[in-house]
Amino acid sequence: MYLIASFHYCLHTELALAKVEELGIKKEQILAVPLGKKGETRHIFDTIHHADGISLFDGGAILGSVGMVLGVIYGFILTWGPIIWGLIGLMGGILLGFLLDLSFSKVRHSKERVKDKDAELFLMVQCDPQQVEDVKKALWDHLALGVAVIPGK
Amino acid sequence: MPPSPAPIVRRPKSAISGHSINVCHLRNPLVVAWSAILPGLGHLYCVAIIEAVFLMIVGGVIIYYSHLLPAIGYTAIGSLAQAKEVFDPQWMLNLPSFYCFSIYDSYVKAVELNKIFDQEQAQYFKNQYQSPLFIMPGSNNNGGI
Repeated sequence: MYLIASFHYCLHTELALAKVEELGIKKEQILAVPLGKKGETRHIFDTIHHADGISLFDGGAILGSVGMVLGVIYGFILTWGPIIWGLIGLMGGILLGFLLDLSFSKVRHSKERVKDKDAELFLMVQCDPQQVEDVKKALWDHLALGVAVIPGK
Repeated sequence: MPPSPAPIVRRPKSAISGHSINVCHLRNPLVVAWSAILPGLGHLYCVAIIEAVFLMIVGGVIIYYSHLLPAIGYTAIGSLAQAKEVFDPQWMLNLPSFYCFSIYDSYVKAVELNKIFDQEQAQYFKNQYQSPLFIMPGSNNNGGI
């Protein structure tokens, strides 16, 4: 019998494999296929499972700090005081930087968007029919995204 | 085909830096929320210990000498003239760049850690779990991918 499961890159994946090996499955009976990632995707924020480092955060951070400095400086003169103007400058700078980044980078994420739920890794485990339930439980318990059982020798 | 030898080193790659301990962890890039609370907390989460300690101490000094907290208090109760008066501009003007730097840098650190982790784990699985002895479903012989 074969089990096929999909996973994220995550420490739980290694724990799943350790558990499967504890059940008496040899290393030669396990095949792991790490998938390459599709480039050219952009997010506002990177997430824990998807980080390309080209998210739309850089411009916001730069202009945010500039806006905050200017807000604090002019806040000493303006009525509302430096703190409120500093925060306004920060928010305005982040917004401006984000909009500039967005307009320059020609976002195409409607089509090419990689969702967090996409699999990054496939595992294939060959085992005896009586072990199938245990192995399946070990895989599900360690955050498998999906598990399939196919008959084989 | 002989099986490829398994590498002895468990973690050949990790984020090595002079300012932190060597790690290979997934870190959530929403770490910026920690850095927004206090400069340095985000670096602590990314285990950049020296930077975290430095940022927290210097941040505390700047916040103390700029009289930020009394000024926030006065602003909150609406006495804005007093807030302006109690501020020390010379110290206060350090704060925006310091604050934004710690947010941005902790974010970049988290993203880099995640990328290194992904590459490293992919390499680890390729080394460990792609034995040529694996029997593919439907094959008649005793092995060979």
